[in-house]
Amino acid sequence: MISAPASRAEPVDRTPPLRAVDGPLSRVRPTWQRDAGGGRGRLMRVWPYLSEDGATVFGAVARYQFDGGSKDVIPYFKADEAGHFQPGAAPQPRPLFGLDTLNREGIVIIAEGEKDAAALHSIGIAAVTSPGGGKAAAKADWSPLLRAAESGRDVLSWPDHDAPGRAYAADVAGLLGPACGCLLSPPAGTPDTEGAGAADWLHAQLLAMNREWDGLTAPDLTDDERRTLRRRLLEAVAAVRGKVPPAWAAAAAPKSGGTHYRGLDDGPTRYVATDRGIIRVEGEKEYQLCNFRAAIIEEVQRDDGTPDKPRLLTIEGARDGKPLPPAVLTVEEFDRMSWPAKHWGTACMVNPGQGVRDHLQFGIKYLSHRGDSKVRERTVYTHTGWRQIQSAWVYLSAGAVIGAGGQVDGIDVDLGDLGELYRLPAPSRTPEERREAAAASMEAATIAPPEVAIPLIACVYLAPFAQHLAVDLALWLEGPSRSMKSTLAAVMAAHFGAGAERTALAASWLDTPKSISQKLFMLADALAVVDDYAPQASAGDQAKLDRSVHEVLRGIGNRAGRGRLTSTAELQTRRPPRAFALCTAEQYLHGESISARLFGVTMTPRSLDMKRLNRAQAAAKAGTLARAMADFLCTAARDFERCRTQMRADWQRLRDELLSAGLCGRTPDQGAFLLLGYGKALAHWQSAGLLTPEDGKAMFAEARSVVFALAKTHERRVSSAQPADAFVTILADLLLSGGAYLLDTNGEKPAVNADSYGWKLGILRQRIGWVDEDKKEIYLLKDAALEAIKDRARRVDTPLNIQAAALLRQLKDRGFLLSGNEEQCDGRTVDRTTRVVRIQNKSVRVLVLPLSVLDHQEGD
Amino acid sequence: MAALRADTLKAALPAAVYYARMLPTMPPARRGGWNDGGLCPFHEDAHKGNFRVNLDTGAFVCFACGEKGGDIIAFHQRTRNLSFPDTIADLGRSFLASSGQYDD
Repeated sequence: MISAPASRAEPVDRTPPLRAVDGPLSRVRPTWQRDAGGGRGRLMRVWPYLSEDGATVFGAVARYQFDGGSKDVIPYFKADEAGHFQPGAAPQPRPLFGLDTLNREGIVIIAEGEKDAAALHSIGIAAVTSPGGGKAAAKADWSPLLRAAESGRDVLSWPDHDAPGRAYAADVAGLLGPACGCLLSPPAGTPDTEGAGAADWLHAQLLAMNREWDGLTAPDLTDDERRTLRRRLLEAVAAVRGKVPPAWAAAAAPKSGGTHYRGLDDGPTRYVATDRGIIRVEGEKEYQLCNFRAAIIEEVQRDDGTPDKPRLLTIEGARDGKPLPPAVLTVEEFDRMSWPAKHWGTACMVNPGQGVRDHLQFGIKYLSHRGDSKVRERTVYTHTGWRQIQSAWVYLSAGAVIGAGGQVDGIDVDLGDLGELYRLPAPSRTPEERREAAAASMEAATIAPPEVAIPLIACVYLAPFAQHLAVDLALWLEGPSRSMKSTLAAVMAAHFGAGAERTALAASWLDTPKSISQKLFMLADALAVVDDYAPQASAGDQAKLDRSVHEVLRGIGNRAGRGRLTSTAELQTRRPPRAFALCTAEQYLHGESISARLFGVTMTPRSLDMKRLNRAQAAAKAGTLARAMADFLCTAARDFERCRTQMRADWQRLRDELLSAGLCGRTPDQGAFLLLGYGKALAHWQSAGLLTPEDGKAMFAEARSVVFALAKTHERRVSSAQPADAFVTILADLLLSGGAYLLDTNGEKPAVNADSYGWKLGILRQRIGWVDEDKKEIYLLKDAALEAIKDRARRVDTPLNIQAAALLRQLKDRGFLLSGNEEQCDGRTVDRTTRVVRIQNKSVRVLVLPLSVLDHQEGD
Repeated sequence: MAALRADTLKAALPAAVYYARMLPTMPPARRGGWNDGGLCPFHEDAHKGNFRVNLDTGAFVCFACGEKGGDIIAFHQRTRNLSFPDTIADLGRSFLASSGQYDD
């Protein structure tokens, strides 16, 4: 060990660009002659190995470049008598490169090679590597890193993007123990090339900044640029970090007995794939099983977020030396062995005989997994939304998968036909791009009047949290035909993928309920537009459509899938709706229970700002809106757990506020969800620099009053769909319109207000009871009144599909029906809904209503 | 069911597996292709290094006695002094009879 020159300064990269004029490294040769006439290489870089305090030089590694692009990395660790380092490896245990950077704060990265480590040093990150190449990790002294790990520092290995890189990471993890994590895949921004490492990542970043870099010398960066790159890298690293997978260690582990010929591993086989087909050998006999070759080349596990994860096998084959197209099969289809004729034609024959199919399916599996021909295994996610993969939260889409550090590579998502609609782009790379995307999203929130746009944009930014906040409402966007509901919904849906258009939306109400429910399950944490609830041509079609709507909306309202049985009478895994449903419709639904599960927003024709709509549609098509969502999700992924907890607390607070402001039933919950979503949108626009905090507060205050007004209107809508309310409304309407009439208790035309009791037209149709102006009571004949009212309800398309007893109970609960007589029944006192009164000297059993119910309805 | 054919036999029985069992003096192989086969079984061999076997194709050659062949069937035929069909049947019975390892 030799003391370093005292003049060593403290720049970010302390490596001299070329050899030193004097000092311990002055004997590094300017050129390097390879043995056996291999040419002469030019010195490109010298990386000194320094002690942790930087005061001692252990030696250096020099990189020489040869004509034709090849390189040699020569260690200079043998000190001569004069203290100059000459070519030669360091004695074991060898020192690590980059020990002098361990005093930097934050994580310590173990890179593969001095070039990668030096690249990380240049952006202020502590990074080390071991000398002598990726296979010599065990020869280095890792004790400084063990100490760092013990002191609680994050130690992460960043393997090059290839098999030797992963083997090196596994070796290092084996030496450092469980304290050492690794990057499971290259961090976002790494070029997709074999062997890409930290230097390639930095090179790509500098290219994006239009900066040239030779990859070896320290790039000339300002402090701001260095900090930005460091932050970007740390974010990208956080998204892909994890424990070193055991598979890497298995690949890196030496085979038993040292170097060893693989051909001995497999032994003799009794199944053989030849050009004649697959043959089973039994001693001196052979049995032909089929006339084609087949092999499983890939097993794909399809993960929809439930415990059921079916596997799909991809089979390749050949017959008569000609390749057959790949066939994709479930495991059950494969085992049945009827697929060769189905996929490859009847010329592909399975021989007859007992047990042949069993032998063939076993033989194909056996041969596929034998020897070097390993079956590729991968997981394909078949839903959108948040998943915790290798301990990091990522948002799945058919395009980019978004993590805390941006796009996460290596995760496959297959959404089938919906893939085109839910394809997020990579998040913005620069603050300018982020601002542009957020501005497009903010403008999309102004194409409709606030009472429409605010709830819609709130849905967009609430949808990514639909599962985690258990959002149990659907937005019902009602408006007449040609009010451009679908166009507006498509602009909102384009936040999740540029493919969304008026004619290409996730689902239609004309789909079967099963299909809609399946889509709402797949599109987890996304906005799913269910389009076009319109009046149907026939009552039968309408009833069918209404059944679909009720089934789907009940599922959303209860956040539960429909329970089904499998063919073996076992309960199937439930697949509840996980999307946020935005439904477009030409009318509202009947029924209190179903209306309460919706939040209604009414659109009027010609209410959209066409210029802004055109610009929003252009932004949608260009993917700018989707990029805004990608940026939003990227931010959310950084601290997803905390974000989720905070949102729950915010929701509770907003709900309490709305409750105390006078909302009731489900509307405070719904209003709180919408305000929460709108708040997230405002926060995103604010973070992109589009709004000041004051603007944000003012816009939120406006949203609060808009949502409150919408909630009140919706409450009235729900209330009018309540059977008891509907009953008294129809009763008043029936009497006013002369559809039925009341007599006074003397059996005469009522002396006062006779017009209100069915006498307006002078044509008396059906008597349904009496009115007592003195007692302010109405006496209704139960059956006659119920029949008349239900009949009218059917004709005005507000069916009272509720049993008479339940209806009367609801009327009583709401104070529309006065108490009946108390009667003894089986020794108990029973409170009846009817009362016996004397009218015209006769006892009549009637329903007694306060006269005020009619006044109230007329006044309303 | 048919008699075991030569191409089936060679596909089912890797040369490396066959020679590992048949040549007790062969050093552990480190790679495919031509390897030291140990002492030559075709002459009174006392010096290692003359007999070479190809672990991929099954070919063998002795630089001392000149014995050579192109596959494991030729080797087995000459060491056992059997006809070609009997050699295949013998190899099948010896190496590929049911062992309960992966079927039956």
